[in-house]
Amino acid sequence: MKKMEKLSGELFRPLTCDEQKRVAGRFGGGGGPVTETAVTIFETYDPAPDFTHDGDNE
Amino acid sequence: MKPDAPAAPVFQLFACCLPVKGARRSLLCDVQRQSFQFIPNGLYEILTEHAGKTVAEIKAAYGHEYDEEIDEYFDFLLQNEFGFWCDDPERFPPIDLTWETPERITNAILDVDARSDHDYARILAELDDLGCKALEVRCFHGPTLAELRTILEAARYGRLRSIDLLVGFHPELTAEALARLAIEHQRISRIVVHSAPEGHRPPPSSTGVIFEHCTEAVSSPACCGKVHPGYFAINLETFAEAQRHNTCLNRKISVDARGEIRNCPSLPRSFGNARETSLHSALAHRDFAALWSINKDQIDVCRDCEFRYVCVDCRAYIQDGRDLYSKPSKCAYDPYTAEWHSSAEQPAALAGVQKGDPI
Repeated sequence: MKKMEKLSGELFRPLTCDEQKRVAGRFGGGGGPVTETAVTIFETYDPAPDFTHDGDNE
Repeated sequence: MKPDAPAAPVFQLFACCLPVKGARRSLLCDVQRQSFQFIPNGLYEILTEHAGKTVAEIKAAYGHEYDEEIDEYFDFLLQNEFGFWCDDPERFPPIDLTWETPERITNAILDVDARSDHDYARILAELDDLGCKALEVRCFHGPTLAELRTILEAARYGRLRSIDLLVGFHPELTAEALARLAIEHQRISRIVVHSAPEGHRPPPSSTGVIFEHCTEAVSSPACCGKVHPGYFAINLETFAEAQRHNTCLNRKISVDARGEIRNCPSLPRSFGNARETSLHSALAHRDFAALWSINKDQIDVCRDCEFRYVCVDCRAYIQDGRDLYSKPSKCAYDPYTAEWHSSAEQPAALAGVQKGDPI
C-alpha cells in the first residue's frame, strides 16, 4: 500500500445519503453532511431563513 | 499562495476538527458541523506527527517522494474548511475532550408492550430526580393515542429535555394526530412508527420534530444494537464521552417491558423491578456502573476503527458472549478493509452473564 494515498480513491469517497438511510435531514444540497439532531435540522432546514424576525430584530 | 518557504505559516486544524486513525483509513470529524470526511492514514500522520511544521518541512520529512499528494491534502483541507494557515499555532490550543456531567443519569429507555403495567408517574419522577435529560419510549405494540398521552402526561412537568417515541403502528396514529401530539408535548423530538403498512418520512416539521413511518417491525429489545452510519453521533459531547466511557451505556438506565431495571433492556442482568425497587436503589448497586467505562479503545476491533468516537456501540449483542470487550455482533464494518459487509453475524447475547451474576 502506498503510504500517501490519493484522496480521489474510492476509500475516501463521502458516504451517500442512501448509505446513511437512518438520517433525517442534511445541510445544503447533494451528498453533504447529515445529522439527526432535531434542533439542528430545524435551524438549517430552511436554506433562506428570515432573519428579520430573529432574536433582537423580532 | 501556498506557503513553501521555511518561514512560511503552518497549517492549523480548527479545534472542532478532530482526526481519528483507523486501521485502513482515518476519519476527520467536524464535531461542530456534525460531519466527517474519510482521509488517508498518511494525512492523519501529517496532521498529528507533523503538526506545527511548514509544508516544506513536511515534504522534506518524506524525502519529497509525496510532494504532489501533500499539496493535494492541504488543498482538500482548505476547501473543506477543516483548518487555516497561521503563523502562531500556539494561540490555537486543542479542544478539551474532558467529559463531565452533573446528572447521575443522562438518558433512559422505557420499554412498553401490551402487557406492561408501569407506574409511569413514579418512573418519570425518579428519572427527574436523577437528572435524566433524554428518554426513549419504545412501544413494541401499537398503542392508542390515549396510551401515549398517559405516558407523556407523566413527563409533562418534569425536567426531560427530549422524548423519542418508537411506537408500533395503530390506525389512530395518523400523521395529523402525531403532529398534534408533538405540539401538546413539546419535549418530543422524534416519533417513529414501526410496523407501518408503508414507509413515509416527511421533511422535518417547523417544530423540528422528526416523524417517520417505517415498515420494519420492532417487536422486542433484540431489534436494537445495530451499528450503522445512520446511527453515528458526530458531535462534541459524544466524541468527548467516547474517550473514556461507553457511548451507549454510560449514565443510562432502562426499565424493560416487565418493569425490570437494567443497564439496557437487552442485557440479562436485572437490578430489581421498578414496582418494588427505586431507580436510585438500582443505580446505587455496586455493579450498576460497571459497564459505563468500557470505551471503544478497549473493545476488540473497535479500537482499530476510525468510527470509534462517533459510534454509539452496543454491549448487549457482542460477538463473544464471554468477552465483554468483544466487537458488537450487529456491526458489519471491517476497519481492516474499510468495507461494510452486507450482513453482520448473528446476534449473540451476553451469554456468559446470567441474572444475578456479577458483571
